[in-house]
Amino acid sequence: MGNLIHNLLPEILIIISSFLVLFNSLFNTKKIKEVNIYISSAGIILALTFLFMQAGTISFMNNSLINSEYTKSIKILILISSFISLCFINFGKNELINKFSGEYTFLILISITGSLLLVSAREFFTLIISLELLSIPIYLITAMGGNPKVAIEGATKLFFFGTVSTVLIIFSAVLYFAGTGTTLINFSELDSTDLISMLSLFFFFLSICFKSGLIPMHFWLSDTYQSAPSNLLPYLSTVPKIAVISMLIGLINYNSFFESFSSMKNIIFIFSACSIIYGSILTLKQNNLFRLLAYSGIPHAGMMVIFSIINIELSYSFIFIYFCFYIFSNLALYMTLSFITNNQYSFLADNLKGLYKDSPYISIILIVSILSLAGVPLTAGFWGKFNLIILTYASYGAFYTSFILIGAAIGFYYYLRIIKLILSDKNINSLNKIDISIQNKILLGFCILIIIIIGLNPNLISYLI
Amino acid sequence: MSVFFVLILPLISIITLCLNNNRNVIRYLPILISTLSLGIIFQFVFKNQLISESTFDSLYVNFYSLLPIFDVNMSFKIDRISVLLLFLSQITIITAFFSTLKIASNGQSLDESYTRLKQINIWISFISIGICGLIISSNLFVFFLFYEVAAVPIFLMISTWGYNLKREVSGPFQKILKHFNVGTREYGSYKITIYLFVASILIFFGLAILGISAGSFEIMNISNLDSYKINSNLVFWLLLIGFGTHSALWPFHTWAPDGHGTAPTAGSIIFAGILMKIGVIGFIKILIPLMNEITLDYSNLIITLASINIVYGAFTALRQDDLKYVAAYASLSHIGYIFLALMTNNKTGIDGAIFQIISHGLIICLLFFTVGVIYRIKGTRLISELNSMLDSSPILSSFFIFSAFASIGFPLTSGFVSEFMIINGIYKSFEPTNLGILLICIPTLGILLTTVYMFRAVKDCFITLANKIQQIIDMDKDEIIICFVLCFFILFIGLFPSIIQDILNESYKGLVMK
Repeated sequence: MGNLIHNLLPEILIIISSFLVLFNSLFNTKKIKEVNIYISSAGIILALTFLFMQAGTISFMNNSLINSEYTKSIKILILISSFISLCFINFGKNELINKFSGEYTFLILISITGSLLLVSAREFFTLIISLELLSIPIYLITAMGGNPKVAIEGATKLFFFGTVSTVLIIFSAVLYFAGTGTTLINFSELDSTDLISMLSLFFFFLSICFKSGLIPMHFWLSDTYQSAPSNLLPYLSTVPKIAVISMLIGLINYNSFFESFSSMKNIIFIFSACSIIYGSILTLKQNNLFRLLAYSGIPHAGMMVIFSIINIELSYSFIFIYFCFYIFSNLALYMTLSFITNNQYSFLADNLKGLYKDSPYISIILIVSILSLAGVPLTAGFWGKFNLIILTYASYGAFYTSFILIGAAIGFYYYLRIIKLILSDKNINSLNKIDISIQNKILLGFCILIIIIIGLNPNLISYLI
Repeated sequence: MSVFFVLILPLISIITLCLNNNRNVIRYLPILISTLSLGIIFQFVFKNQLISESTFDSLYVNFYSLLPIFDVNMSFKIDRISVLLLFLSQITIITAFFSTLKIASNGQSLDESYTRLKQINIWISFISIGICGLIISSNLFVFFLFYEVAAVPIFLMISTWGYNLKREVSGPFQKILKHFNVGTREYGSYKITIYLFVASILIFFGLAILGISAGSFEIMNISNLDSYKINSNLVFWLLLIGFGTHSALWPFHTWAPDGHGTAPTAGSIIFAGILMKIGVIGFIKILIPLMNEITLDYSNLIITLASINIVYGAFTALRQDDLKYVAAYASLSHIGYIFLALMTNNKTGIDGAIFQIISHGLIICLLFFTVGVIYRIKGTRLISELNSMLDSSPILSSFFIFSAFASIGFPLTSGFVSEFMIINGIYKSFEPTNLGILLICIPTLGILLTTVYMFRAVKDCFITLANKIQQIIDMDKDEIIICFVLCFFILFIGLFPSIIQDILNESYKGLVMK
């Protein structure tokens, strides 16, 4: 029992802090927001400290959960990024937050617990429960968006399709149980000639596609990003995606999977290649800024999924660098966007014109984060893509790599277009004056600093893990 | 070691410009910093006694390791060729900075124009870092990294500060082309970006395959390997198309004229002076030394493309009305000489190629700079609208005429020396064959055509008399200074070519293919 508590301490701490936040916002009448910040940051920082103290690979709760160096480093990333997005939400001067600070913080903390458990999960019930724990708070917060009509539409879509994906994964679990007689996930135990086991794998992967926004299950992304409250986006765009994809990578490499299912390599690659190419093409024509960035997340998800078919011993630190770059660039990007757009769900990319003149600090941060997402050298994004391309070439050769390159090339176009708009002269619909609190400025500066430090020397990151 | 400061010094001007709004700082600090870098390069040349001493081999520094698995390091190497290229790049950057000084008089309010000036100077400083890093890189990865640092600002520079041109669209694809707004700066910048980024991805792919198959990204380690490992057709084609696009080698050249036409003067100067040389630098640093055998196999192809470049560029320049397009096609034609010379495979020819790189860089800087001044004074660059400039602005006209003579290859200018050496090199390596005679004819024809289109421009713009007397408007002091500096170097190389040959010394040996 003591061992169990020790291994699950970070998750338990966050659950405790989430309930403290809930009680605080129920019974406290003054300074709800400030106390919420203290409680949630204390919870996350304590969880981080206990995470750092964990060492080695341990399976517990009848092997349904696992703690290893890999899960530890991913959990650290998740905690840091959720810490930043929570602080950002509570430091903001948004009316919505002043009203619903308690609910917001509580729900996000619950969702963080879900994502932490998901990374460790090695059993179907744990996995499904943690996936639900991760998703249901997001359905709720999406419905709190600035424009009620649009928000309800987006939230309903997300809820319906999310439920369908849960059904898919439960179905996959049932088939898996039928095939092997256990719910502990070890895909290599499946019989590769059996139709049932192939179907189980297929449904499992389809559900993952939904949660991480891969083609062909990408359609919820744009509506949700557009309708969700814009200060949820830093969280929504990073943590769930990272948690789900790192779970997939961990599961697949955890078992020596591809020895028995070598054809799955190609299937996963086809999914991610389609996401990279088709996602980039979809992004080209978008003019609504939220939809544009939502679609631009599809190629990134595709690239991250490719890590799952590369040998983990080779790619371990590379995965970490990619996730790091993705998290910090997206955090900086969506935080600044939330200031600029101010919850206007119909914000066009053209409205960014002349931003540089009005607010240089914000636009420099926006430019650096976009350059990083595009993969320009001297930013972290370059290393993410460089490593991925090198690894893919080393394991699969030129043909497979060309898909990533084409995706990256198209990506340059739409990312540079945004930068051009920011720097251009014309300013027809002038934006409102943007004022940022000093705490948020520090958060933004921190993200940019990390992007540039990784860009200059990616080896520094290996000291973290 | 101190020579590596050329990479760090521009950062100072970038940071200072970001924080400072003082107008004199914005105008003159970047010039000061680049002059300092130029001083550092000269100091390096004299300290290592590169002139008339043969002791200096090369300076190799490995700052830190980036990816130990694939031998990716932040390493730089300075040899005799890269010193010369560094010199050229700094001169180009300084000229570009000088050309931005007068940007203020573009019909905008003073504050706005200074914001523009500030941004454009920041981008040029970034390009300066990229170019210098690329020239002295000693790792395939570092090469690509700095290449990208140089390529991104170009897009922003043209799309935000370029010129909109009026171009007639005709031909079978008229309807489609109209859709693209041909001639606007958006068109130019997107065309350049698409070309250069496709090229960059091909180069990246090629370098990655080369590095992985060789097991190391260090250029020195790769050159010690057996050649069968790295002589792959795929890598060669990727790099040839990538570098060829960047240097505007014939079928991939169409971005160059449009880019030059729509770019601001500073952009054109940087383009023609140094960015179009990136492909050539790629040939000198990577293709010829590392993939020796396969480059030799394809040398006839490269010679053919280069010859087409020379003749095609010259013939097209004959028909142009816009002075910038004339200069752009002229530089297209002159780039062909460099490729031709690199394939000659002997000392004279390869030295001639390096001479041509430097001489063409200096001359085209002067040409574009004077064209920029003409546009500032007259408000037009069209040959049909300009006349009797020699009366209204004598100093400007003399500089333009000087640059025209230099690009023809008039004796005592650097153009003469380089063209002479190239023809000499071709004669030495191909002399006994029919091909050799044909190949000698091509540069000669190029020179002849250059004479025609340059004299046409000079005659129509400067010497033809106007009906009414015009006001005298001429260059400003700082413009005269930079033009004078460029003229000095052009004449200096023309008068004392042996100094450059002393610096080059035996470095042709690395470029001779077995």
